[in-house]
Amino acid sequence: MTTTTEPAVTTSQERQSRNPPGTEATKAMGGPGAQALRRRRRADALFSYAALTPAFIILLGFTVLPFLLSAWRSVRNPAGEFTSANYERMLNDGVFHQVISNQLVYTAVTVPATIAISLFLAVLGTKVVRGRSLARVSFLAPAVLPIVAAGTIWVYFYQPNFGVLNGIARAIGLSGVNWLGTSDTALGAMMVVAVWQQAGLFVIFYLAALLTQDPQLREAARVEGTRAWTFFRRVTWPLLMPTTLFIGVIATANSFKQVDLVFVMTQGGPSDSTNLMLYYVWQTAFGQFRQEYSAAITVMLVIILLLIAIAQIRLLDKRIHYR
Amino acid sequence: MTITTMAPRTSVADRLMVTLAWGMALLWVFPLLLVLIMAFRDSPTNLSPLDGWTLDNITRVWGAAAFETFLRNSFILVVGLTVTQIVLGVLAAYVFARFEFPGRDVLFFIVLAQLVIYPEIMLSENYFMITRLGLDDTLLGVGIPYAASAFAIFLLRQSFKTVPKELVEAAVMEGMGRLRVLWRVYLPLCRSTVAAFAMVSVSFHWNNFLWPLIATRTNDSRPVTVGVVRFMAPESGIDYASLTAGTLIIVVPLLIFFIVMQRQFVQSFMRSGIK
Repeated sequence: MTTTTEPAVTTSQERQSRNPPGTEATKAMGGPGAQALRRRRRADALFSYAALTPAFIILLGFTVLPFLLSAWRSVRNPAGEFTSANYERMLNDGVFHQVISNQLVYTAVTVPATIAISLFLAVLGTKVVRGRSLARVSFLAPAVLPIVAAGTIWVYFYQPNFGVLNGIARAIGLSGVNWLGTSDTALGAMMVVAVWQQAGLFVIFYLAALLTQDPQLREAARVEGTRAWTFFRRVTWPLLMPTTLFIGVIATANSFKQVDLVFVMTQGGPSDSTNLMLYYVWQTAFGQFRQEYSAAITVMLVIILLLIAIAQIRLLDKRIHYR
Repeated sequence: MTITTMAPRTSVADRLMVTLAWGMALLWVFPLLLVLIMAFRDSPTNLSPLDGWTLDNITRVWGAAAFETFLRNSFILVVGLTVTQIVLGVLAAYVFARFEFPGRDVLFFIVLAQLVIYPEIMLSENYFMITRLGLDDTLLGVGIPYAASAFAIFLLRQSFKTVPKELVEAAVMEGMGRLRVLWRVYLPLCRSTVAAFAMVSVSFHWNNFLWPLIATRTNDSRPVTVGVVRFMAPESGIDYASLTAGTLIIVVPLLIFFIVMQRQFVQSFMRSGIK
């Protein structure tokens, strides 16, 4: 028996057969060069599967498998019968609707704002010459503060009676606001903290990209008398596109798993105006012990995330040519 | 790396930008500064810089909770996770970058999808999972869902792809095996990406909160962020002196790490191709 093409081996078979290939390949037709090439290819593939196995056990075991288990749990009732009750409940759950709407606002505002502000900080950071290390470390400060601690400190800033913000407001003759205690302002106040916190991490990515930009470009623009803003819009911004998309993907994902800030700043209140998806998942599972309903919400969350991810990866592929 | 060695032709606009930069820097560092100061103040309303300094907050908080255990746990967790993520990530990224094998694109797509679906989204199921494995309330249970990082695989693959083919071929000619090529050719060229990832990972896991809170029940396995939360219990009103002192204890090790690594940090990001 001869093999003229690479046998289509399935992943699991490859993974199991660890013994070095060759006995069959030597019997195969073709010149010695082709034989050696084929043998090496098989060995490469075997090596690849072996090298991927540990990472994939973890990746599949703690994301894909739990997702399947969640999906399974969400369509069964405590008696073990199939039901769509958990998904029907979503349709009539006012809190869930509120949570979805909060989440969409939160993502739609914090992601572009984070991108804009980190870029702004990075541009400012490149202008500082004297003491630039100090300036950069300052921008990074939120990244060393645990979100739970940062959130609590901002609670103190927002505090209606002795908080810093209302102190300033009163000093310039405005009346104070109970920032976190009012439904209209609570989500906004939390988003400010989220952007402040995230920009502190992402500024480093933009800073790195800006500092490695070819100085000849700027020099050429200067010789031609290009205005700074035009140069930024036509040269710098397009060159930063890969960074921007990368930050966009990570920031979007982060926005959907934001729960620490909700936890310490508002616990979702007042009247669920700051309740976000993952916090609601936590609430229904560990606060109200409605595991089946929580599983259904998790499934929805993953579906939304996957749709966004696919759209973003498409965009990424189109704009960036990773060979 | 020097940025501007051009003639100091600072315009008004430039000077304005520098001023604005320092203003923003202050705004960004302010909460951290506040922690560093408040932790040593006996009263938040006493604004005099001359008196009211104290070490009582620190000693009281240190005595009120098992910080030695918490810090030890955080340290083991962060070091263990970062090392594991790098080892698993390097192996996976290497084969994605260098070899062709059936199913590669599908497998890489799974990795890309994990960039957005983090383990913490699967709170309940992962909690049941580690319970089933008998790892609930252990450090291993806190760490294991994160042991492989899609982010690490993605970043390292990007970096490994920039390694010149000629170098790899030359190494193969010399008879180096696959792991040796990885160790002797790929890793030395991509050291800065590894460093950049390590720093992001250290900061993330040192500060991670919700998952460790769910996965642990006793102080023996709690990291420092979960340990400090008892000082934030909002029912009893927040005790800012204790909170800031507790935060200080969390932040100082990380802060020292970042300040020591600051130059390395920016440079590794610059060289790592995360741009």
